[in-house]
Amino acid sequence: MDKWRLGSVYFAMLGAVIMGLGCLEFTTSLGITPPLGSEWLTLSPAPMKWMSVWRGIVTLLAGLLITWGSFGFLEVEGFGRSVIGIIMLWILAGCDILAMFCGSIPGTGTWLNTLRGFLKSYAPPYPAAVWLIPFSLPMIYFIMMWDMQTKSNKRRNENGYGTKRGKQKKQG
Amino acid sequence: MALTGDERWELIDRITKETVALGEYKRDLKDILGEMTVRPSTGIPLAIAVLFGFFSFVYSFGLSFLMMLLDPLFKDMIIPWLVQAVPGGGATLEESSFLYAVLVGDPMAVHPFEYFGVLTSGLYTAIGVVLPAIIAFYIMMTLLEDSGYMPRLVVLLDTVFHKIGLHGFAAVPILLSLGCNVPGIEATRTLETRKQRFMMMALSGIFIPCGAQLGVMLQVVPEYLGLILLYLFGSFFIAGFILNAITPGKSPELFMDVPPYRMPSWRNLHRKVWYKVESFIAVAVPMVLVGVLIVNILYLSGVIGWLGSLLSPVFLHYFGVPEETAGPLVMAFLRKDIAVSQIGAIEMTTAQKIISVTLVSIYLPCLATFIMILKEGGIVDLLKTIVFLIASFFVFGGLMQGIVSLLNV
Repeated sequence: MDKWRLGSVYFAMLGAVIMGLGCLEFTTSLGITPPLGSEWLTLSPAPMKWMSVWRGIVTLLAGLLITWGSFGFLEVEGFGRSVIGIIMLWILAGCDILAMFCGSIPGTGTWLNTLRGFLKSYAPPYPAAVWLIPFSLPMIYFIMMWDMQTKSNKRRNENGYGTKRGKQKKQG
Repeated sequence: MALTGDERWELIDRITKETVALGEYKRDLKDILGEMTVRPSTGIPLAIAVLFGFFSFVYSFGLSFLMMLLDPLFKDMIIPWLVQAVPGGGATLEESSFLYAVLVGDPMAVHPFEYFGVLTSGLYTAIGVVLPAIIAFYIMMTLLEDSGYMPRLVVLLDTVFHKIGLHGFAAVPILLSLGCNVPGIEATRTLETRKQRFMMMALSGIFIPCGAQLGVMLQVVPEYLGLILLYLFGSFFIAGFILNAITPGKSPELFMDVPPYRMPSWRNLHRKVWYKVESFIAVAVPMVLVGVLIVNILYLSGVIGWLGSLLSPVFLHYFGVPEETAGPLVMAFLRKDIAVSQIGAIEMTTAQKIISVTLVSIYLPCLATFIMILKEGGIVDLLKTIVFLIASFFVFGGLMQGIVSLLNV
């Protein structure tokens, strides 16, 4: 199995997992399923309920795009779809990490947090999007591979062609 | 020196050879990502994620970080110092002098919103609550503009806005109005016809809450902000549909050049945000202070109490909110953010709070927005906006009351 096919299978599975977590986040934020979580993972961590619903929708759609794209991973269209899905996941995780950072510096009623409070802000449980970051990183490798292939194709095209009239002149 | 035909062709060939690469063009990943962000099947999910990131950043960076850093400055230093330093203070508001009541407000207050003084609640709302939200908002806005995502959002939303007689460019005034209505009204110049400009001015003035107002809404009714925003955007489209049907004029198609994606430059970001924040400090902060001053004088002289009792049947029976809401509604004409913060200080049920905050949102735009509508659209458009606004206030305010009762909030 070549690495593109392997990538296709990997991202189909990752997309399905993200979709499942998105569904759970969405139903939990709507109160359909009971709140889930452990000392490592928290679902629907957004500070306001409506942001949690929004967040669940984004996770679900990200998973959907990654899976949908993985079926045509070898074509630019399918690959692009998966990349967009992964970008959506990175947006969510970026928001979570930023929220963690912003919440760690000011203390409650004081300018600066205590060292203990600061460190505690970075302790688990983490939202699903943060846990999924390491699993989404192989996409960077595939983006770089795609870029390299495109560049080498372009170079080949540039070397092989000239203007029609210029060719005629040369032949003449 | 004149060139012969062959020499010209030679020259063209030489230039082309050096500058043009010919061959079969294959779309690369950057092209396809650019295309996919304007295609509904992939563009809409990404837009939902980008807007989530936008609001999450405003909340985390603006309201959880910058605001929390400024909070102790007001609560522990500036306000306690003002309470002691301004002469004429008593144990209660009644025992204090008129000047003290205007400048500092109620000495018994616990939260800065409850003082109602020019230098206490006024400064706290403008600098402590609104400024952090505005800074975060403009950072995100600049990033979207400079990265090239904004024009794609415009193209993506074009179909939706065509249903109400506008086009994709309407997204620019809307997003700007979410920061401040004044540049939002100014941005309606990008729309081509007078009909579109009038519609956009009226709709964004009435239904789009500004960043200042959003910041305070997040403080007063955080858990219901989503419901209120959803309601306001829904009302925006219903009212837009009606306005489109009754306003004469044309709604042309959109043609625009979409630039490639680019990495935003730090220098540009810093300059743009500073320029916008500087104009906010120069224009909005003095207006907040003057606004609080006028309302305080009106309150202490009994005008607001009189207005409240005059309008109380409407507030109590039609909207189901307490008559004290009249004061913030008068204030809303000067600054909506102050009005929302004053609502936060009035004792009422959650349902009443939601209705009051919605009423302030769809009530008369602030004075600065009014002046801007007058400048951009003229007196006729301003009068038409006022008529439409009064109708919207009663229709959509009453509807919100019905929804809240149905949901049993």
